[in-house]
Amino acid sequence: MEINTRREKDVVIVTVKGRMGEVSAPEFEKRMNELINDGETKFLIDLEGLEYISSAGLRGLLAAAKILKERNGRIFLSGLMGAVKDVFEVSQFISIFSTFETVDSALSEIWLLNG
Amino acid sequence: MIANIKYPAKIEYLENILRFVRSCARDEGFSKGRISNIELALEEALANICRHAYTAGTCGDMEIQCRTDDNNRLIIDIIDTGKPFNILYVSEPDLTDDISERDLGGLGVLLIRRMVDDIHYCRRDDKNILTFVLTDRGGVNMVRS
Repeated sequence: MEINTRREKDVVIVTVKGRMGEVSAPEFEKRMNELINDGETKFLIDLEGLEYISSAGLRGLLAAAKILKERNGRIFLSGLMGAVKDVFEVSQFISIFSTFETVDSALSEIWLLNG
Repeated sequence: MIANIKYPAKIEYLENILRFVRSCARDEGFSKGRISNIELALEEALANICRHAYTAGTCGDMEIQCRTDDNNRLIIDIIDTGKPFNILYVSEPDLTDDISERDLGGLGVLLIRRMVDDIHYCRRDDKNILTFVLTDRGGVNMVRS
């Protein structure tokens, strides 16, 4: 799994590539916790390069979303496709996150929401 | 076809088992998408064994047997010698869309149930045997209710 982060205005874009399973999910959770503890509240997680996600990956995302909700923060997702999208649908995670096709379409929408 | 593999029940051996089963499923003509489903269900079951089957300080094994039956179905037995545990008794989480209410647990079982065509559990000779039955070799959308 490869995690890269960059910032666009007030949004932290976290790009996750490869596999987010039992072995790698803790690394994602750790990175998210660091960013949240640094005071970041608005995340766009781009999963276009993600090939595989298990319940460990879903739990990592949900755990971060729960902390952020308490801090009035939020996670948006982009690039869901193939097997990864199937897992989001089966677990109905698709309905607890706002999802967008691309990073660009997500950012326009997020900034529109900001007014 | 019949093949088996056994490792100590530790997360670090997960990938070896997944690789083995991927190869069995590929040989049996399963599509890339179906192999991904199998891999996911298997990871969930094995992770559960690694975390919960054996009491702290002891380490048993996790064993996988892959075979095809007379009906050309792929049968995967997942075996451990830990404490009796039927994963099928675990209730599925409430799939609410409220983040605060969403439970962190139970997702593994939900995914297992959705990814394989049929599933059985039995306790025999002090072993937990969880069996995945795979009929559909793929090519169609796997999401089924």
